[in-house]
Amino acid sequence: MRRGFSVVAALLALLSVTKPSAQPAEHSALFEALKPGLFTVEVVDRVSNNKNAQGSAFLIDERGTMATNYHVVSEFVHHPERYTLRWRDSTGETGGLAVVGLDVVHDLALVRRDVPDPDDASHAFELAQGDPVMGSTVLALGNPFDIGISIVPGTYNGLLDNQFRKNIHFTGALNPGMSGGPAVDQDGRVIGINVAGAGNSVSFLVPVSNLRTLADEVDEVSGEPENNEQDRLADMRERAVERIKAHQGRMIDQLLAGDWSLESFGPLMIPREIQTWITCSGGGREPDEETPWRESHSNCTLNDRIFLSRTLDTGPLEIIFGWYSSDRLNEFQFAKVFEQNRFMPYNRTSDDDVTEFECREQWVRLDTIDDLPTKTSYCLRAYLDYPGLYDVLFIGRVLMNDSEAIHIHYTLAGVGRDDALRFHRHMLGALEWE
Amino acid sequence: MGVIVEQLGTTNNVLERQKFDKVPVSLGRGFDNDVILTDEHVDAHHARLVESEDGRLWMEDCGSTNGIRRPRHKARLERVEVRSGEIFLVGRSRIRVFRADHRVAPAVRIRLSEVFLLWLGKPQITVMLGLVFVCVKFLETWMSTIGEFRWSLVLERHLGEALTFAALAVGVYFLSVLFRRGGNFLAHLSLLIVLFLFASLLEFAHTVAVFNAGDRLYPTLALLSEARGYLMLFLYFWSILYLAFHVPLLRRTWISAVVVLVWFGIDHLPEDSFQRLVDSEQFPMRQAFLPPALLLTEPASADAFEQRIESLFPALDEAREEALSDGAEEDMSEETGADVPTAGDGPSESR
Repeated sequence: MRRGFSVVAALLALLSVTKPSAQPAEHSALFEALKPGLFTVEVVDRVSNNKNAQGSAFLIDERGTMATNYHVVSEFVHHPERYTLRWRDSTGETGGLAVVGLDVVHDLALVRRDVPDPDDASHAFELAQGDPVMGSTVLALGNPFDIGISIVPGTYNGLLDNQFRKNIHFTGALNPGMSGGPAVDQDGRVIGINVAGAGNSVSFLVPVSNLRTLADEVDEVSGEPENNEQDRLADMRERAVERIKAHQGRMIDQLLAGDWSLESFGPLMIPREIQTWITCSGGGREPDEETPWRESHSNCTLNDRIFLSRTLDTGPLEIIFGWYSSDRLNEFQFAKVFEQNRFMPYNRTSDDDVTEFECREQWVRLDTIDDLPTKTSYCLRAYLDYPGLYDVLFIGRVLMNDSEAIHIHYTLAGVGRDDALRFHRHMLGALEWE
Repeated sequence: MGVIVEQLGTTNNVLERQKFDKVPVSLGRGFDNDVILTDEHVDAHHARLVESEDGRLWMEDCGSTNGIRRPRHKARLERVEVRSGEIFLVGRSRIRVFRADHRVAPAVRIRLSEVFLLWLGKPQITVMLGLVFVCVKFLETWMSTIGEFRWSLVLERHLGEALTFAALAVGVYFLSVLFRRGGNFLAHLSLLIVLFLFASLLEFAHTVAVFNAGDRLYPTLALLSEARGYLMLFLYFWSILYLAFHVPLLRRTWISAVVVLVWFGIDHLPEDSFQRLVDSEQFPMRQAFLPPALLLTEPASADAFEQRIESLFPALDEAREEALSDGAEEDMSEETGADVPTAGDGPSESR
């Protein structure tokens, strides 16, 4: 029943984005031409033969190589001993797949058919060279909810500003199961890969240039002697660590090179939108009867999450400043208010993915905070499957006389040691006392 | 020859003591006896204490219904020699007989702690302590109340403490009366207040320590916090055993130690997974903030702290290795359990 409802919802969403100017006849011709190159990818449990995950994929060369999302095949990559990978085409034919390349950072995976089909060359999708024009029609293809290959027309809305990775903003309804499918322009050339829907017809595509880079890389290394599959996957996972580290290193580089001009925030001068992809919000509260203290926050985030597994994502960044003051509370009461603040990591994890946080916590004098005693907590946890990657949670708390206090808090996710320390020094060094 | 006859209670507490310059001494329910017993199981003329020609003391049954026995023995005694200090059951009454030349133990020196405990029993001291206690609790509540202060909050915040207080005050006094030890109720009440005040003081000291400390001191402080609880338990038992039950020093010390050990054992039963979860939630340690004036330690320099941060990375790599090797062991045990993963109910990938 729920499934039926979501199908209806999907259709409604589809209808709502179909512009009257679109030419259905043209779309259907394109659809017929592209359909043979479209596949459904399934991650199948070896023991029970049940489907664990399902997504879409499309052919990109004559050797039977298909592109899809990393998150579609991630369970297989992590547990090749438990699952197998299978393709299924629109006629219902199936066969085995092997993973030949991963780009975890951009959520891309290349898989290859065990036995290539002679028609693969003619069915392969052509990858677009340039970017489409803003506002042009884009057609997303895929197999939503495993109800059959579908085509979703929508609009190209440029690259996302608030992400470091710069995905394409596609106005059209992507639904679960369409992940990994291609988004093509009106000539049928691939401009992006379906990756996520944010609801209400706001969806994201991975730009095709990332796919081209990955495909070139796979071509380069394909000359290497073939190991068994488990070893190859382990190698790929290892390379993923380096990629994530490098990616986050570039992110930190750009962040440190960004706009660190300071704005006044209570007694402190703080940075705000350091880069265009950092989104800042602020808020405050005046004292009232039940909560007799003034409170304001500056909250800057990079909500760009790299999918690693169903229970683990990484990459987001959060910088929060808080300022509290009160004329009505005595210092004991005020300290009690300040004590209530809780700080959380910003990325999603489970016990099986990371170690517990370990902290160094101490009163420290920081010269950029007027040499005031600051209770400084630097907490770190390591990723179990990705050696050398850490999450950082930092809190600096300053309690001043006359019931005034500030806290400085940031979290980093999935960074290497050097990048973490670089950011820490820069961040604390950049602050100023008014 | 003189004899002393004592009538005892169920815990050998002396109910009545009589001294006779010469034997025979008659015991029974009749009013013409030397020792008049009120026990319905005693005959009008039940027993007699007599002296034989060679100067030995004897207890004789005068043909009673229920006879004379030794405690915990079934055999009826018709005529038995009395050793000084021996206890007999006459009917159901406990009778202890001493010879007048019985040697008593030397006097026990009054200890300072006992003087203190007895001093606590003065009514004006109890009242004063009570007032101090209420003031402290008021101050504690006022300091920690954010928003509107109400007097009822003082009780609301300390309800658990108040209930424990009342239960202990009434419960121990009740036991003391039950065992007819004539416990000193006021002293007991004062002692409770002193102990609760002492506990509050220790807690405040601990909070100040946590406020000042860094992660290096946290394990020690956590230990001290736990030790504080056991210390209070020990002190409390040690004191009431004297006040309410008049247990001698050495004995009350080891009884208290055993209680604390048992409590410690209960607190440290082998950990289950739930307990581990609860422990891991306490991250990194409950923060405590106080007015800046109470910051007594000198903060470290930024450079020194940065070195400590850098040392955190190798520590985490070690923790990771450890977690991985633990995880591998768990995986092994899972495999042997032939656990078939059921992935069929897994939903299709949705993002």
